[in-house]
Amino acid sequence: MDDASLVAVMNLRREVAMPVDPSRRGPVLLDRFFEEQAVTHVALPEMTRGSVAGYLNSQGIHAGDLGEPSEKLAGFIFVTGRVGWAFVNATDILPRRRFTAAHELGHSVMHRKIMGRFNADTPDSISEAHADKVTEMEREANRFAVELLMPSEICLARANEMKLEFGCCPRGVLTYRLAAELLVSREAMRYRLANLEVGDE
Amino acid sequence: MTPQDRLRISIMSARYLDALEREDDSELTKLWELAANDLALIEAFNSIDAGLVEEQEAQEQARLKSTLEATLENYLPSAEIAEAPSGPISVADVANELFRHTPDRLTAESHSLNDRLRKATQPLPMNLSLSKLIAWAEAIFGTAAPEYWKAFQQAAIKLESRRSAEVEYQLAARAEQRPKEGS
Repeated sequence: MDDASLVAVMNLRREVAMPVDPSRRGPVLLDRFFEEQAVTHVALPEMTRGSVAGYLNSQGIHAGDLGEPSEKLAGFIFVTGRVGWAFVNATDILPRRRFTAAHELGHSVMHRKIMGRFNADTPDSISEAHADKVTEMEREANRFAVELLMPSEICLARANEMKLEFGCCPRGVLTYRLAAELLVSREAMRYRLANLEVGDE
Repeated sequence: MTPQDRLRISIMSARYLDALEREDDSELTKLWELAANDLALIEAFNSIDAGLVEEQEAQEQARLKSTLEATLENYLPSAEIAEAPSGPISVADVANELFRHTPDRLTAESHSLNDRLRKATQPLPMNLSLSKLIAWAEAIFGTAAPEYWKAFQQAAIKLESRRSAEVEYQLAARAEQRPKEGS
């Protein structure tokens, strides 16, 4: 895990007073993080740069030129002053939307000073597993999302529980159980567990 | 001007203002006759007149604004008057936004609190994170349902975005309009 992303998530958890608690079951409550960052999140169907601009204009917000209106997007973050707006594609399935939302939150936390007023993410730039062809900023936001949505403490705790219960911890089964609990894709969970070297191959 | 002159002008100004308020034409005529050859006194009376005109214009504008707002509120509650950004966003600004665009499922108590907050002139705190906003607001205005404060935060984010985006846009536009060096 990249240090900057890990530190950013740890600091955010401390700031929001939401430490990782393996005794608590269920997905990470993303809403709370957005509320504490004063970032509103919105899901737009078939999202494009044009639909984001249209939405902001409908709220009376002068967004300016956001780029080619027809370009399809997976995520978008717009920051202004001390607040921001994160957009995800409502057409994506829930685990994907959550990953994108966490990715945009990562931009808001880590890249406010360097990204300008907005950052648009195409489906290629948001990767739940590995992505070699993205910029460092996108890589950091992806790592931020991984650490926020799939805390290592939870992964390790569930692996230990499985070992105690069954005497072994097949990674495939652990992936299935953790992906369901944390509302992330199985692909993202598999990659995370492999990186953490948790579970038996 | 001697201290005696200043005192005399102050006394005459007070008489002039009093006569204006009482609409006492004969006293006003008398005072203008006294001032006929006294430039300092003419200046003092003119300045009183200018101040009164300004005050009446401001009152008239405020009256028109309040009539217009009341009419819109009664007959077109979702309408809003776009005003040029000025000063920090206040609690009343946010409460008015919530009044115009009320989210579903707000309790009667929340509506009642929102009505009260529409008169609150305090500027919003710097930190708009939900927990800090609630702590700040409840210390001043009392407790409310969490749903109300969530809606309040959303409205605050919207207003802050509008204000900041407009300021940033104007700054950018001004920078573009600036003539190039040497042109």
